[in-house]
Amino acid sequence: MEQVYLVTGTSAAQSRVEALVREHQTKLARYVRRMVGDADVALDIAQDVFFSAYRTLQREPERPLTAGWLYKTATNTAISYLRRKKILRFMSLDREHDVRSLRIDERSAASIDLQAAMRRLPAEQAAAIMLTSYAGYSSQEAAAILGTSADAIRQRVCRALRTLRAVMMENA
Amino acid sequence: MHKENLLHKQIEVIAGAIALGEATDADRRMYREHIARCAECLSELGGEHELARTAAGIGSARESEVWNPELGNVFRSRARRLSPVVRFAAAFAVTFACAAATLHYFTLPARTSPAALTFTTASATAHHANGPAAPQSQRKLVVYHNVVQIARGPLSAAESARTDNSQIPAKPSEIAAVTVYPQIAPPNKSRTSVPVWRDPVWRTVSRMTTTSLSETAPQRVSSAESLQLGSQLRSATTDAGPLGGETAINPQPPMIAYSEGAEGTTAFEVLIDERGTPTKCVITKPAGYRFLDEAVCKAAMKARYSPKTVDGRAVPGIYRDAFTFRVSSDASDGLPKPIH
Repeated sequence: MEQVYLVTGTSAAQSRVEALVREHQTKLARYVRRMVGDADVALDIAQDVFFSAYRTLQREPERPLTAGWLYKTATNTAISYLRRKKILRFMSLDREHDVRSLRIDERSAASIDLQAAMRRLPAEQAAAIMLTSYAGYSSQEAAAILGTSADAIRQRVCRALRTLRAVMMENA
Repeated sequence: MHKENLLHKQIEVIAGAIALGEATDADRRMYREHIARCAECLSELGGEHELARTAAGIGSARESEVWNPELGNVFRSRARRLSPVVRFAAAFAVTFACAAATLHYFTLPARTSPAALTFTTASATAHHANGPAAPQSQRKLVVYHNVVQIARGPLSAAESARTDNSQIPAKPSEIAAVTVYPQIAPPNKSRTSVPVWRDPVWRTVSRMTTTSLSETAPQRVSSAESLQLGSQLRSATTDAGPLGGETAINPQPPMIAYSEGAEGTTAFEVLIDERGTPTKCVITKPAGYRFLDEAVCKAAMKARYSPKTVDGRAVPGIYRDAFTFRVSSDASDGLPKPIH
């Protein structure tokens, strides 16, 4: 990632964010979709992330924004979304997302099972396993993104795998 | 005990490291030693390779993605799109409005106040306008247990004549056609939700509604006379049947059934030996989806049965039964929904 920016000001921030969008939109939106299980919500969250990147750059034009910053913001937004959703579900007002809204194009049973299993995970575990196994960060990097220790990430990964494996074996 | 918990936490950390490919040789050795002793960890987590394989399965999900979202211009489109927060607030408001309207409507059944009516329509249109934000329908797979109907299909016409024969189809061919049940059963009775996967809670991937129709099925023996007849019959010969009533056979359709919207009726026969053990399951009428048939047979072979008895002696017998799978889209009650 280029981290030297010659131009400053609002238009500079805008062009930087546009570059970020071009580079990261697909991966980030896919990551968020896996977290929240809904393509529309994932798009919204991704947009929010890029927009808050824009506001941050407006405030502090010198700040280098890395992919890690984007993932951190996206993860936090997704986690708070999942928590809100859990409250809604508890009140049985949750609208069921069907597979169509997930827009899983690879309609293999394994993929649907993975998404079903993801829904059983607590948000922290989902974030840990998605950042490491899916987005490809190491546990140290994931720990920096989530603001915890590498060992905690590993433990969450292990617990998530426990659940995923059990669910996948039930379905097999 | 405390020490053991500490050890388990350490093992979990190591297992996570192994799954992510960050473990040292000492870690791996420690993990191997642990699972050699701890059967629980071995069965839940598996060996080192199993850990890595499970983690790799998630990574491979990324490889097969084909969704290429275009965010477009973040700055311009943002004004049009509501943020998730606002959408949730809107969903909250709408649902509460609906609930309030319904409550109002039901508490005043005699004189429907025009205010309540307009409120209902207003919230309904609001709900409609909210359409793009809220995905269309809540779908769930309802399993109708046709135990009475089809299981008793091959009975002789003489016996079926004893019961209420105004509604009962006598010929098996007709019976096969009668699989249409009231789509929405009265919610207050004969409707039990059975968790498909058993405890612990985090394992419950899917729940399903099993509607037992024995109370509404036309063959229900209701008069005292026929009850007596029934008991006389039973003293001579009792047919093979599942232990634990009609929910004993509990088919668990796989996740794909929900996404495919698989519907159909599966009729099957189970051969029961004299000890009550199911020996063979035969599909007599396939549902059209193989996984539904397989789910039914799997459940049927898992259940336990009481054997057929003739004059008190257990003999091998056949149990006939059927299930109807139907995708229901009513979201009226608080029944658990399948999780996609």
